[in-house]
Amino acid sequence: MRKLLVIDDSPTSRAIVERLIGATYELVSVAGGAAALEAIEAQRFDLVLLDLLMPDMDGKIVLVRIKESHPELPVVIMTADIQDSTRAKVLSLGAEVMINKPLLKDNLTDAIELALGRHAGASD
Amino acid sequence: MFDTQSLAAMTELIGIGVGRAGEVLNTMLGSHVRLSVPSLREVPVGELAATLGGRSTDSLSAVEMEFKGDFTGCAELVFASADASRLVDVITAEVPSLEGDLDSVRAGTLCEVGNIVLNAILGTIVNEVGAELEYSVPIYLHGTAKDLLSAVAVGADFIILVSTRFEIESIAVDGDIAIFLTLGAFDDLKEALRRFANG
Repeated sequence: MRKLLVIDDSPTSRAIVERLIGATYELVSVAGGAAALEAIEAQRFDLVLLDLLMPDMDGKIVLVRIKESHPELPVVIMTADIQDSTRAKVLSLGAEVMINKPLLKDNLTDAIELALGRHAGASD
Repeated sequence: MFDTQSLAAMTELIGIGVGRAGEVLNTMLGSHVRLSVPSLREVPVGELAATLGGRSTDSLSAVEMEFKGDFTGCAELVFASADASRLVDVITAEVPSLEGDLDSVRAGTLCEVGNIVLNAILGTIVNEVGAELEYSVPIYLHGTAKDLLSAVAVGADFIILVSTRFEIESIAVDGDIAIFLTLGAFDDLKEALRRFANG
């Protein structure tokens, strides 16, 4: 089973992710960027699900840090921010996919599998 | 103040944004959401309490999100507290794994709803007019209309008050959306709307 790190300050959002894909993937959830960076150093993950708007560390900064230290780790951005400029920005920073909240099981699973596939393709 | 052309453009954009908000609420709640046509008024800050009228002493629950960038201000999604409770009950019934005391679950769930709904409306506006905003983390507020207004962090001069009604199947949930703008932001937005209206 693939192991995913879920980074979101909202307990509601983390619970929704757990309900949608908890049976499909092994999930480790943290509430902020600092905890996430620690978790990534301590454990091996196949993919990161990352919120953008978090009080302890902006998600874009977390994204940059992850890509600096673990460029091979695919990142899916999950955000309520629907701005075209935000999508362009996070993709330019190295995120594989960005999806908008509210999350749906199919959309979330498709985004995860797309990101994993892109990463696998890039590694071949 | 908005001229007729800008007001029409703003009303159109708000309508699109509220429609998108309805879609996302529908998705979150797993239930059909009907929206009334939103009404839009620009209100000087000093007159807002009177504008809210009968709600001035009611217990309200709100989510506030500040924004800066091409426009500076903040937006609030405001519910009567009883309506907010019904909304939270519907959502938390779908995610029974939520842990924590009732107040924190209520605040967290409303913040998530506010985050998604306010982003739907603001994001629609900025995408259409080619602007860009940075958002703050949404915060939960509780109190009377006067309490909520005193919590508005930006020195807003004008408020664009959007009133709409969300009807969620058997439960009726009233919601108001207020967008607070500084005077400079108000002028910037009017200019952007003129460009939008002129294609």
